[in-house]
Amino acid sequence: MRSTYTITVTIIISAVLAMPLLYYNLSLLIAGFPILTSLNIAGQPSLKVDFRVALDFFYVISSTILLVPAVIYSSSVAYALSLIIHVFRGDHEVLFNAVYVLPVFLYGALRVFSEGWRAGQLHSFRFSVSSFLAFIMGYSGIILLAVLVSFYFGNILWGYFSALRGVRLGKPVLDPLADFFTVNPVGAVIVAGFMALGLYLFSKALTEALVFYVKPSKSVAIKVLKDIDFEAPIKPPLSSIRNMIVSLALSPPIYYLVLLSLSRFEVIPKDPIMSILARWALSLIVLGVVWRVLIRLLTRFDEAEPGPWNFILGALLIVLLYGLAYMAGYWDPRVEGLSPARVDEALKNIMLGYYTTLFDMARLILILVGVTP
Amino acid sequence: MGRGGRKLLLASGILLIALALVGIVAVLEKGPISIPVTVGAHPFNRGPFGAYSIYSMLSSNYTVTPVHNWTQALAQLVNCSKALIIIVSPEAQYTQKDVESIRGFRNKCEETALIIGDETGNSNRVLETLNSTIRISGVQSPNPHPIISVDTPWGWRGLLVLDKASTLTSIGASTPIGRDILTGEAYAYYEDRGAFKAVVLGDGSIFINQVLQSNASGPYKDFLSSTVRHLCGGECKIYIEASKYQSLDPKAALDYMRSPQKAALIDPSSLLATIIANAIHPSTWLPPLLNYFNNIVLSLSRDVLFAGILMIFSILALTLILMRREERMPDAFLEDVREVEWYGYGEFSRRILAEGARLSKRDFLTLYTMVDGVLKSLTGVGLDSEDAVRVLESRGVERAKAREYWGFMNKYYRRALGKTLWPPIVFWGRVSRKSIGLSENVLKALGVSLMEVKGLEEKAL
Amino acid sequence: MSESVASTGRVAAVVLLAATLIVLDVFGAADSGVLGLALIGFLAALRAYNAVAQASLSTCRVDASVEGSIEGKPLTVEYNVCNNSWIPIALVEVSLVYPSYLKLTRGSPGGLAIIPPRGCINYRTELLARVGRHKIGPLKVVLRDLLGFYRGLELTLGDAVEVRVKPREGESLRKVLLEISRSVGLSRAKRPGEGSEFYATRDYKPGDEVRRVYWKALAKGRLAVKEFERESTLHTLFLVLADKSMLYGPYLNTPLEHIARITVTIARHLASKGDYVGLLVVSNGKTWGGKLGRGWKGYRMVVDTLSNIDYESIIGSAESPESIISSEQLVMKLLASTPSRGKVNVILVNTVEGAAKHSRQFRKLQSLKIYTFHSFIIIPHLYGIEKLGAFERAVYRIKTYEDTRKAYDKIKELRKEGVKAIPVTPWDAAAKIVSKLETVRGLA
Repeated sequence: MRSTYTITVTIIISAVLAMPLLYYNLSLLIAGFPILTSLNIAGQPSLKVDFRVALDFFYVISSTILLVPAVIYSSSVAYALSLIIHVFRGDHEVLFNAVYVLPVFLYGALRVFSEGWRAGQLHSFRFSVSSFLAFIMGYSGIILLAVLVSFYFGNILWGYFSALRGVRLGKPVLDPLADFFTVNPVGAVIVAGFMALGLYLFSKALTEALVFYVKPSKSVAIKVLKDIDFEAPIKPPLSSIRNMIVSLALSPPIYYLVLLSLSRFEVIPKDPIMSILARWALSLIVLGVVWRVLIRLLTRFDEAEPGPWNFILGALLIVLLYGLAYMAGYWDPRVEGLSPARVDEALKNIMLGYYTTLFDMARLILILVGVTP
Repeated sequence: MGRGGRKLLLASGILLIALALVGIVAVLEKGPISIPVTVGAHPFNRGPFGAYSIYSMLSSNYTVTPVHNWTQALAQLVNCSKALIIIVSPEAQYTQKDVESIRGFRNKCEETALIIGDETGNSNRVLETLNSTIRISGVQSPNPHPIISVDTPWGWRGLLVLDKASTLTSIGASTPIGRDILTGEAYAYYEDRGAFKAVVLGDGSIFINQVLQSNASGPYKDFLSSTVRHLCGGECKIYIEASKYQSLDPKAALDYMRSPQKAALIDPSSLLATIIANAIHPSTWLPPLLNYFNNIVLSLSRDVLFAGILMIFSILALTLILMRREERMPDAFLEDVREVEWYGYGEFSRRILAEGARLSKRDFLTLYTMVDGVLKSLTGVGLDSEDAVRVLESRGVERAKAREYWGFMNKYYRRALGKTLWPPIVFWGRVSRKSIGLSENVLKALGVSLMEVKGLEEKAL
Repeated sequence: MSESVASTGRVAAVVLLAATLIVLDVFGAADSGVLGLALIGFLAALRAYNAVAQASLSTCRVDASVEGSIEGKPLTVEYNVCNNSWIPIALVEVSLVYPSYLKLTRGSPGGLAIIPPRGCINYRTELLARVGRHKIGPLKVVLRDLLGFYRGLELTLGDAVEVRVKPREGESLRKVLLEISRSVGLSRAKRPGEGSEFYATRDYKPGDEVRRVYWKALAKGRLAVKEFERESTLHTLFLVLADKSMLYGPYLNTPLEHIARITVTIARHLASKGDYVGLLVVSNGKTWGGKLGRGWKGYRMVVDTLSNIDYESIIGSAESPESIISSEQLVMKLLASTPSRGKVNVILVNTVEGAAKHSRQFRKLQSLKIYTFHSFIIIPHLYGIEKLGAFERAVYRIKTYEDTRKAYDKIKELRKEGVKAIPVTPWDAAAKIVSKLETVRGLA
């Protein structure tokens, strides 16, 4: 709990730090107001200019309003937003003036000290002057190093990025894609983002690994382990592929049954190509439906251990489906019994019929897209 | 689905996006495949000059294999008792390899049969290699539409109209089965050498879709089916020529479509397939789409207003990209031990110290009760009694003071109880304060105290 | 995966700034891309430093010590945290873990610190000691980045140290007690018998022990033996039923602490007379002490028991409205400590609330023949009154008069129920107890 005194002092310091930006905003507002009125007086109905001025006005007002939470909570984010709003109105000079930018960094420090500093702590902590000097030297060295290293890598990466933006492939098919990532600012921003992310994540992963390796600490390791949320359900990787495999096992009899009934009613076209297309469509629909239904069921399996009954029911369903397909397909109305085809042969036919259809279609799609010759 | 809403994903989405991007680049680079658009009497050509009809007609009764490559077809041939090869108007010469493979058919199969309908003479090499005596001259008959009378050994008779037919020559034991009814020129031969039979016509047009799908297709279909029946018997494998026809890339095919004459040559279904394949291929739509998007963004970013909006979105997107993976922790500071005291009355005494005593009418009444209690327990006389003054005097209190005290206490006591309205305005805090001081003097005389540590409790209670 | 260092929300501000600089450059508005990437790089570097510093912090060498063991005197808690690495650690937020019922009097309960490379910092603070057993420490620490962008996981440094605090003896109180016992004047039975004080000499009779022969008289030719004053030995067991009402009151002046001081003072008084003395503290299902010891041994046992009281278990009893021990259990505990001879005086000092809660147990104890049971009920509303000024004291008395009267009424009720309860105020409790005991001794 911070005392009222601490809170007040913190807010005062925040306000002092925010003063330059506030002054800047206010001067813009005061200077901008006559422009606004003179435009109206001039009576030139330039909608665009009016709109532009109004927007500018809105930006500056928002920036000023954002300063209030920034000062009260010493919030770096609110301050940064207040600063960045100026960029939207085409004024980016504020970003290159240390007086305006410094609070983004100092608010954090302010907060740390106002929250972390305890009254009377100077009586409690003691260290020698020499070690304090050693600390100051070591710490400034580290900060200096951090600044130098970050500028070094920033330079190299940005150079690389700029070079990348200059590249022209000269291939009409690939050029638009390349242009998207180089000439188009939206794509270029994404590339730059991933570069920055790469820089950050690489350094992060490297230090975490190095620190755990070079300076292993039991307490930290235990803390980190305890922090992992073991209760969160884990979605197994590639579970959609697993679901696909199960769907593939279930689909043939369903497909066969549907196909059989459709041909009995002569819905399947006679034309060889049309009939193939119809079969493709049917096989795809069956697979899709089974897959969707199965995802629902199997996701429930993933979250709770399935009991033996679930397995038995699943197996029973498969047997039932295949049995039905066999009975339906090999029923001979003349003898009022099953035609003397062997069961394994019959089932093989059912499955092969489905898989060849599916495979043909998949192959055709791949061929059409140009993945396979 | 998730308890607590959080799910652990073990595969990274960024990885999948990166892989997809690589795939897109590869697919773009490769470009769309071109499904060849068949032209001429190809068995897949559904156009007027295609041979799809014969293919589909025979398919209903026989196993029909379109041959795109004779060597491969031969290699796949096993257990052949009877094979029928059908060649309709080939547009290219047969190579040495082709004819060797066709000869292989004859060697592999117990019986081989051949139906050729050709006005070009391209199939002569096939006839040669199978030691047939029939040849196609390749010379078009002067009459563009000769009518031939057909009389076959297997019993089919009838008239057929040919279209730009070529005359035939025979140098051996072959029978002419179709002659021009006007000139008597032979346009069809039948050759039967036991294990090898051949029917050769100087015209392929009677086998194309235009004829077989027309209203007058009856005799042609009859002739064809009876011939096949004769040559095949009950069961045989039919191989239909599909390798000697021109195939066009989609662009050329579209050029063909401009002239109606040439359009007739083209297979509409393969043309459609080609168009679809091109349409769904990313290389067709992605580059223009990206180009369009790039141009729009570039032109918009020239406008300050839109550039501002674009920048807002870009900044937000970039911040999101960078912050998404960052593990965040609430910026909570350590809570120091919060010292507790179970003060009870101690708390109260502290408040008195801190705030100073704020006294009220109630406190005055309490004080009155306290003094009254002490007096009663020590002297047997209550404070409300007139005797109290005397008793106090006997304990060493000055008479005037005792009197004043007694008067003061009872006046305000009655006022507090509402028995009198005088004085009209009372500041109870002040009255209580004063009464405490007066009472202490009186109580001291009795040997008890309000203000000492050892107070009046034992005496009064 | 969880990491040892995580960012605070503040990182977003810098990322926002960096993103803006990058976007500005990409849109061709300014040459700020390098600066933007450098900012990201700076965050990465800062994070790397914090990860290293966190590792250094977690492997720091820590020595903890607590000094002081007398109630009312300072308990000095000292932690030395030494950085073994060459990495300066900044900043570390430190917070001392200590029982919430203890009071910090000097220094701060924590703060922001830096730990120099290959150097140490010393954290030192003082708590005001109160009687009983306390666990102090460890240090909670969190690594914080100077600019507040990153923080480490919370760690604990060092071990908790256990400290036992003895009750303070009121010197003035002891003088008072001595006077009381003199005035009662019955501490010696004034009859010859077993004892240590010389009484008189008499002629030797057959059967007298040789060691009692008075050698000085023998030298004069007279066979005489020394006779010693017969002392009546008291067996006194203090019984404290500690529930949460025992902790009401100002720091160091709660009924519990007050009773502890009274007990230890009376115990010293009794020990000096060679009496048997003991203390049984009963709290929520826990008991301390209970054995009687003779003289100084007994006194030490009482002090040990008092400095072993665990506040946590007393606080734990707060929420349950039931009594902290059943009468049967209490009797069993008492029987376990009964010596073979002599009647035991059980002195029970309690608060009004405690007594009301345990009146059944009180009656049960009174009915036991081997005990003489004395219960003293303290009126707690008067605790801390000595700290007030004269006028405030009067006001306080008036304000609490109702409650005080109710407390007295409650005691009267208890007495009606058959409990021999004696109301005492904090300042006269000791005197009343001792005069009671001396009266008992006089009757023996």
